[in-house]
Amino acid sequence: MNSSIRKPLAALLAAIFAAPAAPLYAADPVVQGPESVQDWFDGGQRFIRESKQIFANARRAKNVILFVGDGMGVSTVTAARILEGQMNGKPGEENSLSFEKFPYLALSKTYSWDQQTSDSAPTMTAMVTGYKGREGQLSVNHTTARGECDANVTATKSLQTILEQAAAAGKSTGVVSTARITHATPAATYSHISVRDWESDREIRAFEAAQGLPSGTCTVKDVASQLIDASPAVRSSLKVALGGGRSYFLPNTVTDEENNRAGARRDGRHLPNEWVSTRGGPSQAAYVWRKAEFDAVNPATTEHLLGLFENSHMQYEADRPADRSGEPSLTDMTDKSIRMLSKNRDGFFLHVEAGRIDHAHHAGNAKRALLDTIEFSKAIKRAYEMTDPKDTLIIVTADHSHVFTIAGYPHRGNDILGLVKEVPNMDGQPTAPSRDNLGLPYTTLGYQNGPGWRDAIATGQKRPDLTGVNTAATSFLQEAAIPMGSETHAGEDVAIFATGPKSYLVHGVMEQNWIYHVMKEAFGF
Amino acid sequence: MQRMLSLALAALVTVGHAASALADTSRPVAAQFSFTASDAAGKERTPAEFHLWRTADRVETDHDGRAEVWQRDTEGTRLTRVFHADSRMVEYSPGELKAMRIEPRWEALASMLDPADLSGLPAAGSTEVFGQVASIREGVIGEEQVTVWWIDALSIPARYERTGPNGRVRFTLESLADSAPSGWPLVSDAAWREYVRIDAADLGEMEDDAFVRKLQRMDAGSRFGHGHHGHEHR
Repeated sequence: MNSSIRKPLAALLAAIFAAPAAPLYAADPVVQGPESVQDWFDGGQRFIRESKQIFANARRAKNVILFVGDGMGVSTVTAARILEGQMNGKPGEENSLSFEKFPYLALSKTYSWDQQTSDSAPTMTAMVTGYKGREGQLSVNHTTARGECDANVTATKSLQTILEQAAAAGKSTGVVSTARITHATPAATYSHISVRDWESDREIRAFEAAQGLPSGTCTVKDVASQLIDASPAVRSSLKVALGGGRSYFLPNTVTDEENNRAGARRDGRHLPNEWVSTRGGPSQAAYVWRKAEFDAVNPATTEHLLGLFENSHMQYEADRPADRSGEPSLTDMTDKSIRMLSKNRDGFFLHVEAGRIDHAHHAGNAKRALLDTIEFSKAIKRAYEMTDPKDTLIIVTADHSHVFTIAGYPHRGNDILGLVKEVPNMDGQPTAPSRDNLGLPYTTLGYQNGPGWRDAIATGQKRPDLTGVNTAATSFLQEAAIPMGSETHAGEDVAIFATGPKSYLVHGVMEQNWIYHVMKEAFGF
Repeated sequence: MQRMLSLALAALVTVGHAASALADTSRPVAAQFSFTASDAAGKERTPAEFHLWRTADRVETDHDGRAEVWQRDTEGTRLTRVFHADSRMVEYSPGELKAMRIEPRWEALASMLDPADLSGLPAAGSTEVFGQVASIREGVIGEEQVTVWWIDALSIPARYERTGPNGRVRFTLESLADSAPSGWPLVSDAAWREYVRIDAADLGEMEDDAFVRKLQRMDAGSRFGHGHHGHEHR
């Protein structure tokens, strides 16, 4: 019997023997997306039509906005996209965060000069200076010694940042973060220092003491004072600095009004007062720390705005409503910044960081990380709507990833924060939690290491039984395979999303420091 | 010794239990305890002092050169851990404590043990300590035999002893006052001003810092490290 005859016969026999089971297989799927068959094809055709309309905007950029989601790896983007969709009552997978609609995309290689998996200091240094640097160092070149604290040596090693170049070109500049404004990512735009943790002079004095050096040996300025004592061009251009980290700007003789804590500074400087006094006085400059004060700032009449809304980092988005003094959201801060910076006809450079995605991941707490990512997406949407894509380059990326993963074979629309439930083997059957080799359910989201590891010895179980556990609770810690006090960064590439002038230069697999070169090219520097 | 005391304290304060009428922690207390411990083989460790200073919205403890300062306000509960030998403080904001799933009940912090645990122990008489009536409760919690002399009016133990497979720990009240007497090892104003403060959110990117490495080794297995998740919310 040749094969052309065997096949129809086999199909006929299969149909005969399968006949009694037909009603089961014919049942409607319990899990199903909202799309029709035609929708998939139509969606693809729409993508082609719209893609054909994309043109390479080769104009010079008037404005550049660099958004950095700290620790926002690709898995974080995917999970946040699904969570946002599910919060809007959809299955979630088909949702897009605002920046996922940008026309140009690349991958960014995040290693640094001396790290396979990097921290935020060299990665942001790469993005804003064009050079890869060393672990823990901000906008100095890789020949800088660890712990170098001589101001003159540091000056010779310093790398000019895109913010400083924008300032020299007469543009306005701004820095916004939900972390401390002195934290590595925002600080790399305006400071040059060999140790990222030297955010106030307190940390430098402690370093001297630990090294047995007389106090004052180190002449390099701390990060907070570098923000205030900027070069004349930066001082004039830096119109807005918004974030946390208030204690690093206050002397230790001053008690903070919100949290009853002494400031950090040993040198007696009150940097918020200096911000105002060195930038035209109260008629032109303002310092705010409450949301009500922030809301009252008129961008049209305020030239320089410093907002420090927490002693340390600002609240996670999940906890922001509970803040006693009120905190603006990242969207609020982005909006106000653009209103202030847009007054300059020569354009602006703005950096906006969602700094707490990273912290929530370090805590092994996926929901807080994802809610901060969703707020980040809203801030980007606001920026896109407030600017003209013809003259404003917007780049969205991350400094590094985290060991955060989306696992198993959950069905379409399965709660992204929930237990894995697969598509049932037969249509019509209900979904049920998938089981591991121990017979226990597991969550879709998890970490390779971190605090989410459960102590098997203490509990007498090889794995926790999550049956009935509310894994979608805001403070639920996803399981981790390796016990560590803090979950770690990851070394895989992160994504770069871009729109606006010269955004077509963002393509392929890029070295992270090339992001600077795209911005430089867009500005025409 | 530090690790043993840390684990003992971690055992004292558990999380997630229902509130108990036994906990009225509103009265200010300054209590000094002696702390003794022995391992599973019965080997005694060097005795130590443990200080508890409580006001309505603040609980400060000190032992072995380390302090914990818990405060509550409208944002929630916040913690500062003080390491005198290192001149360092580690600060946990309310949001960070939640993100780390460290959510102790205030009554448990302010009274040194969870009143819900206490209410599960059978009454075994009463006695008088420092002019206060103390109810005696004895029983088994998990694998440990537990004895508590509980001063009901102040919601603190006069004696607290746990004996189990891993050894024995005992807290014994040595002095009692309404406010901290002079000479108590309270965290000084100078320490609040001078010590380097670290936000707990930053610990993940400070593993090249010698103090942070030491801290993480010390915290492994405790409520500040991995593996302790209290009661998962079902």
